[in-house]
Amino acid sequence: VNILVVDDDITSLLVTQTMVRALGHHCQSAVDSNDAWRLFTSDRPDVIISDWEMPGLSGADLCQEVRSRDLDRYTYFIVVSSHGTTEDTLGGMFAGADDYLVKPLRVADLRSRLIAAERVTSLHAQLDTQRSDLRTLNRELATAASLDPLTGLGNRRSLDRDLEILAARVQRYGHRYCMSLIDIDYFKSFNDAYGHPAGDRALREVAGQLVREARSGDSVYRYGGDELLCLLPEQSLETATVAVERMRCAVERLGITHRDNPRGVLTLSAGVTVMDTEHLRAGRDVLKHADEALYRAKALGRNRVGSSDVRVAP
Amino acid sequence: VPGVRDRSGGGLRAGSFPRPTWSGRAWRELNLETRAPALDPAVLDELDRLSDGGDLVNEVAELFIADALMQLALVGDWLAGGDRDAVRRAAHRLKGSSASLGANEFARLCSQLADTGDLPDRSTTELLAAIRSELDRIWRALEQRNAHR
Repeated sequence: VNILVVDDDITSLLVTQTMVRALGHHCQSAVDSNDAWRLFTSDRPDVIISDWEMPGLSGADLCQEVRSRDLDRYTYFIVVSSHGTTEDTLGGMFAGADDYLVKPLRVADLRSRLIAAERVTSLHAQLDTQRSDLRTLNRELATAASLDPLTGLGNRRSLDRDLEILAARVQRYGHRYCMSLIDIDYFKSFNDAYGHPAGDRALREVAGQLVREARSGDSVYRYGGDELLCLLPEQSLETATVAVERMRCAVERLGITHRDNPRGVLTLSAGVTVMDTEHLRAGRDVLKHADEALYRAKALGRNRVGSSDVRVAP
Repeated sequence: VPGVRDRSGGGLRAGSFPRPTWSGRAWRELNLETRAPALDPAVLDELDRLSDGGDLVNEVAELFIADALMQLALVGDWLAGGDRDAVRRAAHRLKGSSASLGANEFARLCSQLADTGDLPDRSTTELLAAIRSELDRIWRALEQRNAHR
């Protein structure tokens, strides 16, 4: 156990530190609270044994300071005084101390107190570890809950959350965003021809390609089945259409063989729409418009990007 | 312990303590020779057990006597100046350090000094004299102990 002994009286300090070392603990010493505070912040001892009455910052002050900073790790605090009255004992405990010893210290007393200190600090350390594990697990669960397990893209849950945030920005700050609904062409026949495992692999490859092509700030989600969705904040319909067209080309370039596709490779169709304050006021259903734009792209022969103002590229 | 040499004046060696300069008259006048030993043998034994080849009793005693001499000299000034808080702090500190060496009577007298009311008065002056005498008795006890080792 790492122990910091604090006492402005060097006689008592020498005796206490000799006892601590004789009991097999590592000991550092400080003759005033400033020195003690420096050692506390740099070395984070497990236990502090501090004199109660010191010039400047008292043992009570030091204890309160330690308690106010001691957030990530518990330091067991033992107050030592030559008073030994009930009021002093209570004063020490109210200041945040864990234990109270009266001078002169006796090895047997100190030993039993340090056994208790070791027990308490190791319990706290165990709790800290469990708390940290729990935090990590919670973070992982939160991430897992918002991701599609097959593609690693955002799922419907995270899409709904992000859409809410974007809608609020449109409403409060007059921002705008574009949405693109993306569908893999002839995907059912791809599954039929090559099997579902190959279909899953293809979906993963397409998802990866879309993420690589997306600009920072844009997000890609798995909307369901072979339908993917891209959110493009702050984009105009024109710039968003260009961006989605780049994604379409990139997927075609993957060259995933698809014998039922007239191109011979896997392609996708996409519909793009915009949402701004004007559309919001008009009660526009952004998903419905993106879906309509996608439908138009498919109707025009697939492997293309359609936008909600009817203009279709290429 | 940091600062030990500075505080002790640099000349103290285990087993060769500077004898306090006052006469110890108050001690003899009070005829307290029947009192408990100046240093509690149980505490000395415990310090000996902790020594691990060194001489912890003399190390602690060296620090204690040097500090006590300094503090008592200052207490005299503070008593004259009526600085009640400074006297109380010094008495409290000496109570703690003397107890570490097993100087129980010295600690008891210091405790009385810490609890004394308005200063200075006759009883406080007498108390301070008794404390000085007790320090002399501690010094003699240590000399005796070292002579027998």
